[in-house]
Amino acid sequence: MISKVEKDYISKGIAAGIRNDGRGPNESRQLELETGIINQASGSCRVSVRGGTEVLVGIKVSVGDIQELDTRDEEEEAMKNRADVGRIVCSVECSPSAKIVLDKRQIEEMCILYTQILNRTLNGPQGGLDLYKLCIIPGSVCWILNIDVLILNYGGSVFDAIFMAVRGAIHNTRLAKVKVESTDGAFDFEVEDDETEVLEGRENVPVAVTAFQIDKNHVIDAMPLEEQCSDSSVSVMVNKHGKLCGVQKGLKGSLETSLLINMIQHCQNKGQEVISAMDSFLAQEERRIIDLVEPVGFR
Amino acid sequence: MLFSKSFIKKTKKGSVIKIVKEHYLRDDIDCGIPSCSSCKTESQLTDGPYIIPDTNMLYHQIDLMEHQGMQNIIILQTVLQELKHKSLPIYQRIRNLIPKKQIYVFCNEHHRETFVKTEMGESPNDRNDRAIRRATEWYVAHCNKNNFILVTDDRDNRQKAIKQGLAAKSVREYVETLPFKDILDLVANHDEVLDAQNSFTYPEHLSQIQISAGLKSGAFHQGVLSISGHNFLEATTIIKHNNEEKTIHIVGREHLNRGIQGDVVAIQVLPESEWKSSISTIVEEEVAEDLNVDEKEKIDLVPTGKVVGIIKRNWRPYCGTIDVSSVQQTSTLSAVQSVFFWSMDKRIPKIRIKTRQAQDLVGKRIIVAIDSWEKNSRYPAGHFVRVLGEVGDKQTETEVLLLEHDVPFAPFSPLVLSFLPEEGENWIVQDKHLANRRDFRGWDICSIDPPGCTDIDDALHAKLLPNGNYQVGVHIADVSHFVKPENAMDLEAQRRGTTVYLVDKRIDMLPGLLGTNLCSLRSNVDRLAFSCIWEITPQAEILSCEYTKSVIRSKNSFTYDEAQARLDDPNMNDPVSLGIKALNTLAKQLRKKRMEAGALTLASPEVRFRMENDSQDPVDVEMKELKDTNALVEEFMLLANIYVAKKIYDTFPDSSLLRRHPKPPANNFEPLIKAVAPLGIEIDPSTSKTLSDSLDNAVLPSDAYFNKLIRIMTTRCMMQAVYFCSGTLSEPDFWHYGLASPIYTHFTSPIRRYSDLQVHRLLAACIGYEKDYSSDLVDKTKVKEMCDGKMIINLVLNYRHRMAQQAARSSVELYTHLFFKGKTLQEEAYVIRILKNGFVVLIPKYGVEGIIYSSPNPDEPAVLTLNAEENVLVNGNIRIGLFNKVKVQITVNEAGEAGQRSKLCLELIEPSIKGMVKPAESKPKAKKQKTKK
Repeated sequence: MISKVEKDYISKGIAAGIRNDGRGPNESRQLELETGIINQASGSCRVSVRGGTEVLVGIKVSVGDIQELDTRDEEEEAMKNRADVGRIVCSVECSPSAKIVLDKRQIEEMCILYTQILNRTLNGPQGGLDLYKLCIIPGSVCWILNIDVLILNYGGSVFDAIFMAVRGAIHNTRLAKVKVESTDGAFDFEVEDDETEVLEGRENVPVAVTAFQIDKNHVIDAMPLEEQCSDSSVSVMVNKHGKLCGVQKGLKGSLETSLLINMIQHCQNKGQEVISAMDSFLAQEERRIIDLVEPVGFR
Repeated sequence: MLFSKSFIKKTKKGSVIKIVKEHYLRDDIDCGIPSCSSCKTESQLTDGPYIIPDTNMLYHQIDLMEHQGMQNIIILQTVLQELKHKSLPIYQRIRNLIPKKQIYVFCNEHHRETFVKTEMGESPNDRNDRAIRRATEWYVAHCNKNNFILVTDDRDNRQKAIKQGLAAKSVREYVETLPFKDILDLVANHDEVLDAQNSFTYPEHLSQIQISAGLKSGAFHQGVLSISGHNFLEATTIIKHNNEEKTIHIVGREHLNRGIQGDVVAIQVLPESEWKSSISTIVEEEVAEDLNVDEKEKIDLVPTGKVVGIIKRNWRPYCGTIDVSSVQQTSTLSAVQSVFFWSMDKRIPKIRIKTRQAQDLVGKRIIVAIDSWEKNSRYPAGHFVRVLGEVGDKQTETEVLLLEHDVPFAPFSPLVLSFLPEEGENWIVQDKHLANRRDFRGWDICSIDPPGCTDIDDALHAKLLPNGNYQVGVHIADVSHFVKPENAMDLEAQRRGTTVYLVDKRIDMLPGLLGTNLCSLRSNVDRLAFSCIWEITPQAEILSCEYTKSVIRSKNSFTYDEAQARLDDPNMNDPVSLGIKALNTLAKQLRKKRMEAGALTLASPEVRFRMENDSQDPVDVEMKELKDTNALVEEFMLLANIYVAKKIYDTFPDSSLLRRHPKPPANNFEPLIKAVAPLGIEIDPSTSKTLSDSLDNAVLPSDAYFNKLIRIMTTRCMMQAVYFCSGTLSEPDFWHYGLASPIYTHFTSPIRRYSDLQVHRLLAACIGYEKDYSSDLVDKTKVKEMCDGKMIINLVLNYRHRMAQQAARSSVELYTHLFFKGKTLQEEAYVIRILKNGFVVLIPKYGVEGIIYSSPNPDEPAVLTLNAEENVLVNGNIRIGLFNKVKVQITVNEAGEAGQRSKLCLELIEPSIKGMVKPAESKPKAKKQKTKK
């Protein structure tokens, strides 16, 4: 909840290009990212933003039956008919210990919303991952990536952190090698003991950048108070190549077309920056894994 | 220090899971070397040198490890764990060895300095080898002495070890340094020993993944290989096809593809064009070429298949003798020879072993274990384990048959005996035992058993009630009072499964104190029992049934003859005799009802031996006779079993231990039906009632024995009755074909069968006697495992039951041969089977079977020829067909010379055919003798 005075104060500040913590409207807060911290998961990542947002993502792979994708998109329709794709199942949950200003019902709705966005974005060519490669035995068995997001702390702009953590976790995920044998048309498979294979297309996974509109301006990486000042937001999912992978409008207000296009543009650019910073860091993480250095983790 | 290890595993259901384990490292694990100053643990090691074996050495050379010459062994935790995964039985054997020898188990996985982390891309095997080398290295550094030898047959591992500066030897190299004469024989072979006929190759076995893919798609079927007793190159296996059990035949060496009796194999059914005829050939000894199928004879085709892969080997150590012809006379006594070994079990092929004691071993019974069967070796390779004794010696032969049938016959251990009641022989029924029991000590109860029976399981009584009905009681020894679940005595009894009755010995399931004294329902002494009491009308209608634990005092322990005497004597009117008479009347009516419902009366050619005084040599043989009293006891035992089955199934529908007899497949009867058709007799096997009626009508006025013969043949078409867990099958499958009962179990002999003991516990829980019963009673999986195990076919009831029966038969066979030794007898016989190169006869007087060959001299042409359409063997005008009566001359071929066991040698006397009998002067000792006609 926010008072009228505070709201006015923040709006005027942003109009003047100043935010409460001294950032510019396009600046994002410092964050920490670490991958490979959960032993039991096939891939994991934790993103911790200075302002308090903390998100933990764990990916467990399992083997299951090939099901048809539930989408309405044209291209995905085409994929629906092909019985040789794996799939991704996401779920977003908020930890009860997260410091959060919304009430329970709103939290639930928020989580459901984020789950849906993640599912839609990742389960298709726009998600970047090569789902065909996840198929083990065409027509019957495939890998299923279960992506579980846990919001540990809420400090504004959670969705951006979630997507970043998901991208980091995907980068970190390893699959076990599978050997398929066939006899007379019947197939069976064996798995290797260790998880060694990376997910194909992981570098094409997008990140999200959310811009919150406050009066005539918008801010990126909003803090909780700023979010409450805003009437509408736009989350833009953009990948390494600058392509738009998804756009989601949030909150209840309306947006002018020109402002909308502006926001999307800004987010796209910001997204590219984020990705390049992330990629250089993820390359470091790869080194760390090969060198068998333990992550700092939760210590 | 804490580590976490993780790996991926595919579960049985097909899902893939990641397993993460925590691993602790410590630095206070001692080395076990006595001279080490820093380590204080006392171990059994003495002064060096010490050997550190790798897993394969323990796995393949287990018999070598048990030799007393192998001492000062350091077994690493890595090796022990790998061994456990590879083979649980061998792991158990090593575990049992550890306290008895100079062995120390070093926990190298948990020692900080010897723990080895898997490198990227390293296979588990390589990692384990590295761990073993690391541990050896550590030992050398820790004790500052280089007397630790790494023993492994893996050349790669040895080379790497030597590079690291360690001493490494192969198994053979190490064993050669030991000062024991016979120890080198025990070393198992794993090099590819090529056969003389090098060109021979078996088809490659498919890999496990290919087999499981094929099983899923239905291209292959899984079954247990069952080699024919007559021909070791023919086998059958029962597969489940479309929910029906079908028998598939496998003929020929190539199709058998190195499958050995008992192995679980993957079968591919051949197309119909390649199916073989059902008439088989007898092959007893080695034939150089494979038998070729007569292409013209396409009669009676049966489904045929071939082995494409082995799912599980079920090898065990085999008893037998060395093939004399393969032993070379050498002057050097200790030269290693490659000789062939014949197992007692005719279904096992020849095994090649290497030994230095070849000449010593001729004429002795020995045990050999199979190591491997490579695809370019005609025979499997194995190694010698130990000697049992002289061939033909009764003790040795009895031990051989017990080993061959996997009957545990060691005396009860002190631990087991510690669970007997402390009062021992002086145990009596006291007031404290009467809680929750009814007191029947005043009742007129008696028991009827064979003469000389000391373990009396059951007793009966019948009393006329005021309302004109009878009160009938069956009282069974209350073994479950003395044998509590899961204690050592119970586990040992479960392991044994049943008491085994040999001709001269009895291998007890329970210690004698219980079996022949405290549990046995002896007369004139108070005993604990579990009773079934019925109220029955004089017309044998059962009105009610109750079950209760009780205390009884049997008035008489009759033999069948004594009870029969009481029955027949109209002057005996004491309560017990009246009881027997009442029981008899009721039993007759019950039996009639059962027959009407379709129960089968089958027959077996069983005979009993009469020993001369105590000389232990059989003097005469007599056929077992059935009297009224036999039938009486049988009727009421059946009644009790059926009622108890219903009761426990009612209360424990998921986990009752029941017994069923599956209906035999129709094609089992075909040969029999065809054989009796020309005699004008019809056999209808569609239901047990029709079969029973057919058997009753299958009479030849000219021959009284004929009906019994048909019944014997029918018995052989039957399936085995088996124990099963009620939760694993649906009710229609509970049917007991032979008894025509919808449900059945074993309840009446807990002293000699473990299944009955389990049923007692279930029934006690049903009636509320046992308020807290073990959760195992209701555990469906536990009961199922008790019946059939988990692919490891030992320690289980059905297996033990079968083995006990076969051991008993073998014992009878042994004594039969002893009886015939030195005698020549001529007796009547009936033809019971026609084969391509001979026929099988049954001699009713002695209950034995034997083979008569079409050509008594293998080098001369056949005297009898087979007419396949009519299934007869002909010579001129004389025809020999099924059920013909003939006369044969019986002699015994001594064991040892012909290679295996003593054989019954039969010659055809009547109908008299020239060439079928060898002239009197050349009484044959070995089959291969030539005679002049």
